[in-house]
Amino acid sequence: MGLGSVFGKAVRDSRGTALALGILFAVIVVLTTSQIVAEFDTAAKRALMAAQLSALPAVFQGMLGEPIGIERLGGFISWRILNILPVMYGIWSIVALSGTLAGELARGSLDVVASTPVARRRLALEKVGAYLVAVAVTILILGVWTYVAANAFASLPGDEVSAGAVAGHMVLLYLMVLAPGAAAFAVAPFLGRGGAVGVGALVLFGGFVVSSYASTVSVFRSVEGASYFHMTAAHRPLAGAWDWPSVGLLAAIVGALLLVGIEVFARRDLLVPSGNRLPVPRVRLWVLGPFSRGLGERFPAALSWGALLGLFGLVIGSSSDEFVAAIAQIPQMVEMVQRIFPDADILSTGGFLQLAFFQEGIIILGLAAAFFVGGWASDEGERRLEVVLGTPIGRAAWALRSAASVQAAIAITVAVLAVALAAGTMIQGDDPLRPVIGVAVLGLYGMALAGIGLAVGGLVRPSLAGPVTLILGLGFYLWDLVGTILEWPSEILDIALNRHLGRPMIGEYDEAGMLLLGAIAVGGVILCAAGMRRRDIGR
Amino acid sequence: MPPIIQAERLTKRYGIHRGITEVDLEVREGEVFGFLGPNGAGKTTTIRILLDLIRPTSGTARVFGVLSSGDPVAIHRRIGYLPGEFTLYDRLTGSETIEYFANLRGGLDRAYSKRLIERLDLDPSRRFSEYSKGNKQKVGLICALQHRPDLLILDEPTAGLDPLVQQTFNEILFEAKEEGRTTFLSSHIISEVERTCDRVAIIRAGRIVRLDTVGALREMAAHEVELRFGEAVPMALFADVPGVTNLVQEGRMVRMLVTGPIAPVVRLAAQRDLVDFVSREPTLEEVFLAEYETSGRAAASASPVEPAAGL
Repeated sequence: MGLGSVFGKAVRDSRGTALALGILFAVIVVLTTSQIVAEFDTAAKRALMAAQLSALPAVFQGMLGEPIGIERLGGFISWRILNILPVMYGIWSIVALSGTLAGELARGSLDVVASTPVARRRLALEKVGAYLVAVAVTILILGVWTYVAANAFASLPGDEVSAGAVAGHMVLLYLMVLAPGAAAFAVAPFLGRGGAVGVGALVLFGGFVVSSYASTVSVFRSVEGASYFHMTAAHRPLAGAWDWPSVGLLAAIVGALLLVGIEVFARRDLLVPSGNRLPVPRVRLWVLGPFSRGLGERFPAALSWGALLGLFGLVIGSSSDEFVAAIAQIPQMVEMVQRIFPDADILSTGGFLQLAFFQEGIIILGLAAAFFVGGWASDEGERRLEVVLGTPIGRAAWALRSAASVQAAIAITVAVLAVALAAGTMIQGDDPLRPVIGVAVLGLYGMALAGIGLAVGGLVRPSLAGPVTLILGLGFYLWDLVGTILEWPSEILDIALNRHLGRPMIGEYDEAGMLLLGAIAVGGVILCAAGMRRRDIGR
Repeated sequence: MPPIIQAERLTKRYGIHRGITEVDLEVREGEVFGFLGPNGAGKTTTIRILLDLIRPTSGTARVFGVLSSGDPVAIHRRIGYLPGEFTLYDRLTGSETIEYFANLRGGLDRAYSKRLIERLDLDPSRRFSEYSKGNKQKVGLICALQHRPDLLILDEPTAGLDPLVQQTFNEILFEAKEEGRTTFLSSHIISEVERTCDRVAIIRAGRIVRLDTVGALREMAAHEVELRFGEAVPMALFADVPGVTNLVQEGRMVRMLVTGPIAPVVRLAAQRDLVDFVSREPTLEEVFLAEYETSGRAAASASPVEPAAGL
């Protein structure tokens, strides 16, 4: 694919990512399938496993949704692996579709492209078309390997999956990956890239969380119809469940959103929208030095991340009584939970938060850390740093102060979240201390991720800092998820930093883990400064 | 008096790509020094080494007698720097940006920065992201000038500025010179260098190919000489005069290029029926282009073409 057209260049730009993401999930599917077949090699074992998992209340099923047909290989792959894909790759969709026009407009390169003899509508169509092709390539790779793995490892009757079932499932995944990006794309001409990312994130995480916990949290039940996760929950062709009307509706919504984005782009002025930023007091404090300026720049985003996560925490926290009452009525369930969490009062708000909030918090804090680290790296990437380092501030001093502003931004996010979670807990008349400590541990995890990203940015090059943080944030989660399924040895599993957080919401602290996280958070900043001292600036 | 900037055999390589090669430079106190070269010649690489933003592969650079990689903060305390290509903070207004950079230097001289804002005709209340290219350049200039640095290092300072503001900028440069401050001005706009600089270095493909005063450089270049006689004069008469090239005869008129002293040509012409004599001094632009043509041919015949540095 060459540079002969806008479409060609856009496909060329995204081909590496598309192939990598397709291969990543394909590998996970193949590994998981081979392991499951080996572990549950008889129909009786499969049925027992399916019965146990299906008996879990929704809060335990959490992010993976309702288990459908998991006694068969296709159903298990669909439930355990593929259900999480629209969340992971939805982030890609938001980043790509919010930036394909709005990001280029902000950089100034769109003016040049738009001045060529390519009509604006066609320009937008070609850009969107290229991304649709990129996602199609990713899903195609995944589909082929899902088909190959399921049929190659099939060991029990019903394990084989048809090409039609795989195709039907992949169509759903394709649309679900595109959905939040399409929402971001539609609003990008009005809100700019930052606002569009926020809307896309709300659609993605809001829809996902609402759908995942609607059966547990009564507030979510009234809005679950708006979630595309809920809308398409009955379409799982790999598990033998089909619901084409819901998929058709999602396709229509995605198509309409993309068309709105294209049409609005074609009609509006090519201007970076302004005046939509979070109103933040403009105080002189923000321009005192690199720390205060960095913090000032990240402050609105830190508040937004904290508010997003805090809203979720508030709803979950204030719903804990409902959950505790429900679970207390099932003695077998209480017994099972106490086996999982011995010596812990699981029938409490803290226990509920540990189950229903902590895992999502890990992912979102990872994303927030990647966002802040990416912003930090842009100072060098966009050549602002060159002007700053022309003043009498040493490289290491700049690195220490600016990196500290990244960690401070994460601390602000966590503080906002802690306030919301404490409020939710206190509504229930419970002690907010443990949830607040739990949130602090999450913050420490986010800072450790940021520390690694900052160290890479300082030692190697800034363009790697944000992506490394993002990959580790998602990678640790996947590592833990897949490794647990595949029963990897604990030494291997423990590479994932999120396995060193303990269960702080219920008072189980991993002191060594916290020390490790703290050391990484601080050490990363120091390494960043050391790296900045010795390497060329502006790489 | 020790030089303000001293580069000795300064070399920077970017992997297989050329940066600069054995650059020797001396910039004296109080002068406006022009650094002339086309895109990718190595101007920005040289500046970035002087500021310790990148480190040389070999050779040394000293500013105010201090090794650039030894104590860059001490150097930065006394300089004002405007990069050729930069962005600043989109969310800060012009005045906040100016204040931020003043704070990084230890404080703001409000009266002087206000004067600069007025002279350069900048509206400081707008966000940086809302400024035009020229206004962004003005913010960068004010940040570089507002603390009255001993040494100004300016990379393409007038890019995007309208002619009126360019004139104001030139006035500010002259004022700095009158106050005994030094300016290192990198540019590919030859008229700008010719107008403002005392001495000029020409850099080509990472090497300094000429370094002299603007006047001396002009002297070294060929004068365009036109001689009109009362009768036809054989062109061959001037062929053997040292420094004469490109001889053309059109009836009673002889045209030639003369490099070096012009007196032998004048003396020879005076022996004939000379009616008119026109000698045009070359502009720095012609010097520059001639220099590039000459050194380009030499380089092409001496060695294979190196890959572009991209810097």
